[in-house]
Amino acid sequence: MPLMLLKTIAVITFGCAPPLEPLGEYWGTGEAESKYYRLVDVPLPKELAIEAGSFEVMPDEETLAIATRRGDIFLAKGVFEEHPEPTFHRFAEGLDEIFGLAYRDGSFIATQQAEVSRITDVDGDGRADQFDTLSDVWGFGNYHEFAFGSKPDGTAIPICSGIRSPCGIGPNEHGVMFYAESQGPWNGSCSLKVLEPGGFMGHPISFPWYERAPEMGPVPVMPNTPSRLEVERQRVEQLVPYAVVFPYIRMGRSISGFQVDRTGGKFGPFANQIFIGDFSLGVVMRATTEKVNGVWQGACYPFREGFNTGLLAVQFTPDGNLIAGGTNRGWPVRGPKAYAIQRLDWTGVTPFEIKEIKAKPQGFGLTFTKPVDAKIATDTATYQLKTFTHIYRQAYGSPEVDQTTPVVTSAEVSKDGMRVLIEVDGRVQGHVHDFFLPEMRSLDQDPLLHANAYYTLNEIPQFVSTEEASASPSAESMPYLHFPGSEGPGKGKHIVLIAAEQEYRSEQAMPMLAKVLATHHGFDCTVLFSVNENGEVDPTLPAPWKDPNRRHNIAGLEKLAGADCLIWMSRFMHLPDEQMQQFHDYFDSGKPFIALRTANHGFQRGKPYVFEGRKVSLRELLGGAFSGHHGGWHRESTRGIIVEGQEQHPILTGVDVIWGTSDVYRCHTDRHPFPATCTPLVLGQPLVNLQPDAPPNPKKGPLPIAWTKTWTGNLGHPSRVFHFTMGSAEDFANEGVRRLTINAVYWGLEMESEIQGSRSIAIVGEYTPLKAGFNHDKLGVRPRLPDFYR
Amino acid sequence: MQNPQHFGPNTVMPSYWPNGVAIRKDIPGSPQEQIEAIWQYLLEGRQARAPAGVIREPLEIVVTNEARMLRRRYPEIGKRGIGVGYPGGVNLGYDALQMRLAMIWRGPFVDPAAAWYGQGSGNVRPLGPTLLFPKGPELTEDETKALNDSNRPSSHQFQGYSLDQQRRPTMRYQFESVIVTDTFREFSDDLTGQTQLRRRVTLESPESLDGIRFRLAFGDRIESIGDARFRINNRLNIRVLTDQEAVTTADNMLELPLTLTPQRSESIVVEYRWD
Repeated sequence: MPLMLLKTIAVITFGCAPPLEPLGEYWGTGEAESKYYRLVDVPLPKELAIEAGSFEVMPDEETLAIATRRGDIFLAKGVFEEHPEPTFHRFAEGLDEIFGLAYRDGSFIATQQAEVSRITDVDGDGRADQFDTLSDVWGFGNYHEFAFGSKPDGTAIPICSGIRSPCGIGPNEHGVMFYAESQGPWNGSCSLKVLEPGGFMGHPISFPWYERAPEMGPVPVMPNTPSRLEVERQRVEQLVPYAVVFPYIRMGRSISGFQVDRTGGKFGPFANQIFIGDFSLGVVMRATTEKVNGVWQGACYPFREGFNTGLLAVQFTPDGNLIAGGTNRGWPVRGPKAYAIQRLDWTGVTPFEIKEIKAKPQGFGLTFTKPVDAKIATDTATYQLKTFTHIYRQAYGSPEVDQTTPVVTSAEVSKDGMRVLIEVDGRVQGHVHDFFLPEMRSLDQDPLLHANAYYTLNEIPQFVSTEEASASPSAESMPYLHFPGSEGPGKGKHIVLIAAEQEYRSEQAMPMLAKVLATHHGFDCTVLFSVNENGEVDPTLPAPWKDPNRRHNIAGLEKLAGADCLIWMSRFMHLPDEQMQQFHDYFDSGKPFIALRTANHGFQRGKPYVFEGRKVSLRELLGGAFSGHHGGWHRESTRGIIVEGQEQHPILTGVDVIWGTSDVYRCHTDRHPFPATCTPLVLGQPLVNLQPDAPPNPKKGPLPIAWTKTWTGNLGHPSRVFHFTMGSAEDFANEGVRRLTINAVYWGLEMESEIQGSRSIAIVGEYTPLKAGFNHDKLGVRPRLPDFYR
Repeated sequence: MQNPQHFGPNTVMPSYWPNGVAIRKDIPGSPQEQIEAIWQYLLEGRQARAPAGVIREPLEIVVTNEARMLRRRYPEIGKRGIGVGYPGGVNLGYDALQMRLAMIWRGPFVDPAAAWYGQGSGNVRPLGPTLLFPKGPELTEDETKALNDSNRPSSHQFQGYSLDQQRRPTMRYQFESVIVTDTFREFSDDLTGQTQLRRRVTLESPESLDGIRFRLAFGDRIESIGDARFRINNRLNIRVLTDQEAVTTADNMLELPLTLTPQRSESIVVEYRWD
């Protein structure tokens, strides 16, 4: 019975059944919650016994796949309708307790109790007919050992030991794998924990299996019992502390499946927070995490009660609602229904809530969903703060022990009233800090919908604010890439590169360019991507969206505010207003922007950029916009011709052959001729095929493909603008294309004197650009975590 | 509770304690205690759960014109059991841990209640008397002793299965470098009109292999009744339709010795007959 975590698959061990006792009071907030979050029943046909264990939204974004404890996979249409009357189609049956389901490359990946399987409908009749065993390496001793999770590649790797009885696994809001642990032996209460490779999660029953998992290293020191986790983690090197403790009964009794809200605000004010269900109490809670001194910790918050059954899985829908479902069988559950699926819809009304608590060197920072009443919020008596911890022991669960009452010595409210910084005397490392704010009022005198929140303080931050700490993001935790600058003329300058399009593989080209700029030129580079709700770089997301209510997400776009230069390649992004604003602020900043290929149609819909009371089009901003393919699309490559008289322009220093497989864009028409305010540097000549030595197409003349201009925005600061309509990942394999772009960075920053034809533009590491196009499956393009492109 | 009509003359609610005497003699406690127990139960309000025994109905996975499957814990197999029920009322249990046919039976397919209700701790129950086959992989090398325990053989790896148009599975596994497929089909016996099971095993080996064996059955009494037919323990007939010579070993196994050559797929076709 090896107890190990298999590369993103938790294999579950036993747990004693919780003792029978009353399940605990309701929060009593259900009715008030319904004003903000409405529960919608999804009717289920009785004969199908749909005991949901895991969900997946299908690529059509209309079908919900439901995997069940009984072992079926259903495809349900209509679940996302306002008043759902769904239809169900049984895709597969006869499987075993499915608690993980993903759809990848035309197949389901299902985590059954004793096997991870790839399940495919080969003959296309709508029913699965091929079941491939991806992994069944784990042993099995007791029916109580459930397996959760999905998205494996078929290799099983032991990751962690000491797991007790998890009921959920997935990335946290920073893209790091976490799991939901249940109260029981060695676990005083339920908690979210990070799956740290090589980590020991606290239950020493897995020690006998270390000999079968040499990659896990030596067997940890046996923890003492009874003790405290904070004490034992000094003794047991591999012991990973609970990141977020869910105080027993007050915050659930068996926390289960969770998912991060990547709806970009469609589910209300809690974007990018963790939403987690509970099996025993039928509630959904929120959680936030942060890494302090290298250790994960964070807070949990009540959110919504009153679900009809025990929740096992949650899933955000394409419309930004939350599906939750499960069963009430086997263990005590408060919900009355044997099984149910419900949908939680945001009504559009923002509740007054504690949005997030973060640890600060001097105390805690609290963020609220609405401005607070400053008088009440500056009164330290508003914050009733207590701490406690649990006994870390072999016995089942633990009472709350070692209670203390810290003193809030000051409370400072931010100008906008959304944040309060409290200074606290007597914080206790390793304790849950129990916040109770019954007197807090919003500016319009609403009480908090939930006055409680619980922060697990494993570490107290040093006297560096967490904002500063997060300015040097760790690779594992951020949905973007950062390449620190080495020595070079660019030292001290920060370039933000944006890869947010679906066709030209900028997710490959921008990291490559960033590495060249950081390694050979000394620029500090951050690459931002269009990411999906899992935090994966996802060029397969449709753009523009069919549904005008959907939004794309360029994660980390706030980095733009601190950028000295922008290299920008987006295509038809429909961004949330705050992200558009970040672009608009940059356009006003007087800093340079290098716009590549699709950037001239980089947005679709979204908040317009307004200058002197009128909307500014991308055509005006960049000096041209896509008006058709002049060269044959995906058929005719481009050769660059340097414009006569511009040979000495600094951007063209050292530029020799310019060639690439992308076709020549027509950016100017009779109605929109080439602007007199732009300086053309390079013309593009369509060639007859995709070979570098191909002859020019005699029927097509050259058109401008690279030019400079100036843009002066609302603050009156002039920005240097370079627009280059080549820029596919294949184009960037060409030295001329690379040097032109890198020279433009120096020029944009008014560092022309540093441009030298001899500076290295050599690619750092391997670079195998994929072909351009939208047939992502065939081209090998699929959602991947940012680190893949590192 | 004792006299509902006392409160509402037109109510159809029956009394379960007419004249203060309980109708159900099998429930312990006085009528007052029983009523108090119901009261205590209702005090739980929305938390109240259906009492044990009230909703459990026997379940049956019914097989009609297509095969049905259920992967779950089975008696004599364990957790990696795959039950398959075929049209015509023949069924089998396959062991995906040890790569073997573990049991066959006739009649209805299975009752999954013990796995589908409650915590799911129980075995799937075959709905007919089972004929059991020995533990340990069926395909072994000569010197390998058959496993008598429930361990996972290190030499075998289950690879999954695919379904035909009637949802009948073809199991796939690997034994060392040998790729094995294993398909069962129901068929109607011309002589008796009964539905029986026919099995086709194919083996592909990248190298020449001699001395491997495929076990067909174990029995204290294995009779050869001619025409490649064998009667096992007077309960089951096995007929080999391919040209391998079945042998009975000293330890009472009926086995097919095999010789595998590369680029040639070896097939075994066997019938399991209840006649």
